[in-house]
Amino acid sequence: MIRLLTKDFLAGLLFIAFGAAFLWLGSDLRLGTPRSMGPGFVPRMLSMALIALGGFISLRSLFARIELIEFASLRPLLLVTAATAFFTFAFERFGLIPAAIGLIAFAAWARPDWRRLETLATMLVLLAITIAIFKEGLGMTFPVLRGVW
Amino acid sequence: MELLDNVWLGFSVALSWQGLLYCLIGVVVGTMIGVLPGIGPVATISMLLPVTYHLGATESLIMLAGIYYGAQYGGSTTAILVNLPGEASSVVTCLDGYRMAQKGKGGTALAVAALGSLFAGTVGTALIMLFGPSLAKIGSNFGPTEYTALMALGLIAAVVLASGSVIKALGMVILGLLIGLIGLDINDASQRFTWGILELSDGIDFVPIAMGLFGVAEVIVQLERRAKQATGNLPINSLMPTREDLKRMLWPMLRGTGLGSLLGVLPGGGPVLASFAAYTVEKKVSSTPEQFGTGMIEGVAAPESANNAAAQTSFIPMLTLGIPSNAVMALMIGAMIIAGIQPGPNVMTTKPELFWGLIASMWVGNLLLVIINLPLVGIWVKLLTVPYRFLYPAILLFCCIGAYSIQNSTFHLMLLVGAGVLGYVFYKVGCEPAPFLLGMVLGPQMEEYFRRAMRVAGGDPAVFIERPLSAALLGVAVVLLLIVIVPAIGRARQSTFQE
Repeated sequence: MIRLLTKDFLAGLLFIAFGAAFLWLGSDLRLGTPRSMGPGFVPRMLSMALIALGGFISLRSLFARIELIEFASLRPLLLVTAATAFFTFAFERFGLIPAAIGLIAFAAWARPDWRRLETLATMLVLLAITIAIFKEGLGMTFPVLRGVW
Repeated sequence: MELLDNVWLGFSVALSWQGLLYCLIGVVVGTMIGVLPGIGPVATISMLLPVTYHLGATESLIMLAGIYYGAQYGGSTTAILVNLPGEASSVVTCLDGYRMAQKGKGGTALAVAALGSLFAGTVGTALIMLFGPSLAKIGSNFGPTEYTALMALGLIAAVVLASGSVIKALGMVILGLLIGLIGLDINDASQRFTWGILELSDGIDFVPIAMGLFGVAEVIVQLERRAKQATGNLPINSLMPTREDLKRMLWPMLRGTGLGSLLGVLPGGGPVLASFAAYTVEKKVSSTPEQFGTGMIEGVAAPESANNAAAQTSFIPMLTLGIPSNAVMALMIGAMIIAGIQPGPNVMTTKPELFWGLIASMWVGNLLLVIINLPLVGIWVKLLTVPYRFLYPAILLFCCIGAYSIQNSTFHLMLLVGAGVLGYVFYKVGCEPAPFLLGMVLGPQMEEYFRRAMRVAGGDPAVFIERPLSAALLGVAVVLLLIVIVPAIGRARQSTFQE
């Protein structure tokens, strides 16, 4: 079982999964002939190569030195992703200020030892910088606060 | 004397006040992010791409190039003073540079690195000026067959030179190519892998992907590792190297420059590889190899010259053929396309002021780096004490705003979020993102050339080995691949038997 949690084995699986997905999604694309290739020709070739390569990597990993995948904590992954996802959700809807505040809050929370005052200071400084550079300096057309600015 | 005219044109652009200003901005920003560990040129340049909308093409490229080689330069400061590689290309500088600083010769190490970089940058720039034009002439005779072969060589080189497993890098290239193909098929306008999502028919923009893979994912990884903060600064001695120091650094500097220039031109090569190779060579030729790692000037001069030389010469394939040899060059091409310039052999004739101006500015920039940085060392050292906890929210925020501003679209933000997660997964399973990005950038072009070449040849793939230039390029690719794979097989078998 431990042999299946190695970097190489999982990398191989990842390649197989991507290859299979492209193969399946591209199955209705016209192949054409080598002389006049359709839209499906090159993707088909590449997907099959990727699956073959992934299979080889996974198989080989069963017989080679093991390098186990390392896991410390899922917290940074989840919260940093939440930070960027929140920004994506809020930026056009509500404007820069709410989006940036949310992003920084989630990002700060990704560290177990975050502090309230520090986070607040980061928010203020970064908001001032981004408004100065991107809105005033470069004249970009995003809302700073939807409906107000 | 066409060359002299061109050089003159170049310097008139580089020394105009805009040229100087953007060069200065570039090298200062570059040094700054170079000094800071955890943020590299790829993430910075992708964050700054939106800024280039507001600049001319020449100014943007001058600035972005300055960031690139400025980062190589700044990376060495961190390596020498706090034993942390500010950039991947300064990993080896830590070995002897930090030891020198511990022995109280930090100032000397910094000066050696600076002088080596300046010398290597000068040589690298001269090489581009001398060989760029003739390479572009060869390039303008390229047909679809040759282009396909050249890109294949570039991708294989990226695979071979990736720092981890060769075979995984190959998988990453193929995956990148596939993702690059998402979007409208150029030949018959059929939708490929778009699920009817309108934004996807233009293809996936690689800038938010680069920011996600290199910016966001890096933040996640650093937080998980609880990035060690730089602590305590060592005192710096006088920057002036002694005569003895200069004598010791001369040959390593020359060897490093030569090796770096060569490895930089290779598609897929670049500063990281060059610095490692130069250090290894220096150790081989030294009469006291056992002393490396204890603070040898040679161990600083050679890799620092090599990485700077390679940073300069890696512009050659980009400027003369329009083919990016690494992720930074791919972003440069993006900047050119944003400015409405089609990269390729024609840039030199249609936009001479851009080509020669950029090259001349690289030399000016190298000089600026030495002039402004030696007095500023103290400030960079202070900068290192800015804790990561203030830095990473800024990185995330700038990545987000940067991704959005490419087309004022929330869709690009979604790509960024996805690429961040994907980059984390790649990191966990030990797959390098750089070959992936290169495949993604080259994918659409390469498919187009490949299909065109096959159509012309009547569907016979033999055309790739029948045309001499294409055969030669593919031959080099095969040789490169064999050089790495054959010993790897041997090693894999050995380790299997050992278990």
